[in-house]
Amino acid sequence: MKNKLINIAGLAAVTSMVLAACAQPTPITITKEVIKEVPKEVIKEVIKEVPGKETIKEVVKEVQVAAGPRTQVRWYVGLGTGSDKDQIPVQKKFVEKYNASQDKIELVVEIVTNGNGVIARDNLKAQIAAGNAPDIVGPVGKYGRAQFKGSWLDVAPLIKEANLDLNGVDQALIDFVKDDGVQVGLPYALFPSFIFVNKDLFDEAKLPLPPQKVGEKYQGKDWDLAAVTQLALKLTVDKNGKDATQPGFDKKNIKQWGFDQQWGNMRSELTGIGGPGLPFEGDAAKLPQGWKDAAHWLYDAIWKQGFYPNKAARGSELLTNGGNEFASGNIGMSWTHTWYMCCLGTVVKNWVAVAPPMVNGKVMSKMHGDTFAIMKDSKQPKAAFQAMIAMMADPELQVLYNGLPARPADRPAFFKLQNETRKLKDGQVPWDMMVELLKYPDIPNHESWMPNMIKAEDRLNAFQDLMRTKEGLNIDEELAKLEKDLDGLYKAK
Amino acid sequence: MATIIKPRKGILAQLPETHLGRVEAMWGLIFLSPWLFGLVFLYLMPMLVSLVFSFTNLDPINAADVKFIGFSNYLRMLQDPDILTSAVVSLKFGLLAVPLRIITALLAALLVNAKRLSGKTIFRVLFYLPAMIPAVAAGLVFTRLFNPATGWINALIGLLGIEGPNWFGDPKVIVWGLVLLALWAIGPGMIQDIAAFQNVPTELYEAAKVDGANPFYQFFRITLPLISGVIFFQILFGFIFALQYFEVAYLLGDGRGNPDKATLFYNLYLYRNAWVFNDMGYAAAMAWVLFAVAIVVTVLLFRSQKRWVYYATDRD
Repeated sequence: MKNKLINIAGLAAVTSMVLAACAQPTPITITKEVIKEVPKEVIKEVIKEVPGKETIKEVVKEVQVAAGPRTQVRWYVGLGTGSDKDQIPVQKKFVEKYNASQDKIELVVEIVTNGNGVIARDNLKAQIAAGNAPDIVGPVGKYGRAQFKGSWLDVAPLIKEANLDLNGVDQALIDFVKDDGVQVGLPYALFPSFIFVNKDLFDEAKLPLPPQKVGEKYQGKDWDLAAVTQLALKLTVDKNGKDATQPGFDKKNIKQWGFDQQWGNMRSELTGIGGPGLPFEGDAAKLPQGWKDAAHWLYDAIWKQGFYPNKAARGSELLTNGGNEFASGNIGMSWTHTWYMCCLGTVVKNWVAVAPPMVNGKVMSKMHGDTFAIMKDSKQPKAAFQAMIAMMADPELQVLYNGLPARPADRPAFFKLQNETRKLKDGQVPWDMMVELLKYPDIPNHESWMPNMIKAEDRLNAFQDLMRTKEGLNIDEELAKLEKDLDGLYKAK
Repeated sequence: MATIIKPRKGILAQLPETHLGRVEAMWGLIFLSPWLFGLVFLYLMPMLVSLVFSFTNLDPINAADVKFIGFSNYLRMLQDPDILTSAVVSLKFGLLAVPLRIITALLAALLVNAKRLSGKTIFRVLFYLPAMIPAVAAGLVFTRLFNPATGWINALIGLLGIEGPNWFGDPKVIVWGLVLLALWAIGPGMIQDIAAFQNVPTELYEAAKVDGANPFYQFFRITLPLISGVIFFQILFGFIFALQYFEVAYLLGDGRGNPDKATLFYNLYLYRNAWVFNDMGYAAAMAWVLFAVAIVVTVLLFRSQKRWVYYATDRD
C-alpha cells in the first residue's frame, strides 16, 4: 500500500514537472497603461517669423471632452522598435495627449519587451491565438510582419475613404509597404543603411574619413568593397598593436576590428556584400551568384584577413562592453541602419555617418521600412485607422523611432529635432546623404517575402552562424547544402 | 414507527455526519479552492486542450483554419530527422550531466561533512550559493568565462601552453560546457546528501571499525546503501531536470540550437515548432510524447528501486 502511495506521489510530482517544462518558458515584461482622459488639448503651431526659420509653439488648451463610452483601440509596441526604456515615456506621452484630444477613441498602449525579436513575437502570437489580438501593431518592419503573414488588414479601402493626401510620397515607397500585394500600411519611417565610423580609430591610424556624399570617390578611387577592405585591414589591430597589413600580425589575438555589418541577418549581410537578390526562382532554391561570392568574401574577411569579427569575438568582452559591437569602441566601421542611432552608448564619443560602399559598381543602401499595421481581426478598424494616422503625424514619435519621414515635407522638422535630441554635431550625420540614399534601396529587399519564409530564414541564419563559428569550411560545399535544404523547405510548404 | 436510516454510499459515505463536521469540511474546501482552481484551470484543462491540439494542424496565427488531422502529427514525428537529433542531444546531456551532478554533489557533501574540515558552514554556503543564481544569469556569466577570446577559463588553460577549445562554438565541445554549467549548481544535491548522512546510524560505522573496515569500505558498504533513497530521488529529479532543459540551451544556442543543432534539445525544438514555426499542433504532439516518455521512465525507475534502494521501514 505504501509503495503504491509513493508511486502515485512520484508520478504526480513528475506530471507537474513535465507540465511546467511544457509551459511558456520566458517571462514577459509588459507595460500596459490605460491613460485616462485629461481635459486638455495640446496644439502645436508652426510659426514662421523669419523666412527659412520655424518655431514650434506649444499651446495647451482646456477642452470639454464629452462623457460616455469611447471605442477602445489597442496599440501593441515591441515587434519592432519602441520598447527601449527611453522610448516608453514618449509613447505614453503621445497616448495621453491623443486621449485628451478625443471624445470617441481611447487609445491603450501595450509595450512588450522586444527581446531580440522573440518575446514580443511570442506574446503577440499568444494574444492572436487567444482571440485577443490588438488593433494596431507598430512600428513594425517587413520581417516582423512576415512572421504574421495573413494577419494584416488591407488598409487601401480605408486610405481611399479617408481621402488621405499622399502627395509627394514616392509611389515606390507606398509599394514598399505592400506585403504580397496587400497594402498593410502607409509609408512611415524609412531606415536607409550607411556606415557608422569611429573617428577616433581613424585618427589614430591616420586614415582619412570615407565620403559623406553618395557616389563620391575616396582618395581618388571608387568607394567600394575593395576600398572598405583596405581600410578595414588597417583598422584591425592585434594585442601587440600591429594592424592586419603588417607582417607578424597575430590573427588569433585581435583586439580591434575594421568592419562589421551589425545586427544583420544572413540575407542582410549577403545583400550588403553581394547586392540585392532573392534565394529562389519560382519554387526552386537558387542563390544569386552575387550572394555566393559574398559568402566567400565574408568568410575570408572573418578567418583569412580577420577584419570582420567571428562569433567568439562578438561574444567577448572586447565587443560587448559598450552594449553592442560598434558601441564597444573596438570596431572601425559598422554598416547598419538609421535606427541604430538609438543605441550608440557612451563609449564611442566621436562617430560620424558616411556613405555605404558601392556594390557591384552600383550605389545601394539596404533599406528597412517601419509602419503601423492594423490587424485583420480588429473589431474597430476605422477607429484604429484614425488613431494610426494621428501616430504617424506626431513629430516626436517620428524622431523617437529614428526613421526618415516618407513625406518629404515632414523631413526638415525631423532633421532639426534629431539634431537637437541627439545633440549631433555639424556634419556628424549628413541628412542630405540619407535622403539621397532613399533613391537606392535594395530591390528586392533583403526582408522581402520568400516561400516558407520563417523556416527558410532560419536555415539561412544557421549558415551565417556556421560561417562565423567554424574555420576551415569548404564554402562551396556549404552553399550547395544550403541551396539543397532551402529547396526542400520551399517544396515542403 | 421506527425511522429507517439508510446507510450512505459512495462519496456521501465520506461526508461528515454532524453539522459541525460538514461546516469544517466546507471551510476546508474553501481554503483548498485556490489550489483546486489552479489545478483544474491552469493544469488539467490546458493539458486536455493540448491533447486535442495534437490531433490538429493548429497554427496560432490562423486559428480559424484549424483542421482535425488524426494521428498525422504523431506519424510525422517518425519521419522528422530533427526529432531524433533533439532526442539524442537531450539524452546525451542527460546521461552525462545527471550522473556527474549526483557524484559531484556527493563528493562535495563528503568534503564539507569531513570531521577534520574547519569552517564547514562557510564551505556549505559557498557550495550552495550558485544554486541561488537563475540559470539564465549563470549562462550569461559562463558565456564570458568560457569565451575563447577573452574568457578566464581558456586563459588559464593557455598558461599550460594548451589552446583552449571554443566551448560554446564547437558542436563537439558544447555539451561539456553545458555539463560544467550544470555542475556549477550542485548545492541542493549536496544539502540532500548531508541530510541523508545524518540519518545513517553511527553504531554501524563503529561496528565496521571494530571489524577493521577502512573508510572506503565503510562508504561503499554502509553510507551509500543507506542513502540510496536520496540518490534515487536525485536520479528521478535529475531525469526531470534533463527533460526540462531549455533556458540555457536557448541562450547559448541563440534559440536555434546553434552551433550545428548541438543545443537543439527536445524542449527547444518543441518550443521552436510552437512559437517560431507556428506549428502548434505538431508541438502539442511532441509535448505528449515527451510526457509519455517521462511517465514510462518514471515508472521504470520506481520499479527498479526494489532492487537497489534501501528503506529502513517496511514499504509494503
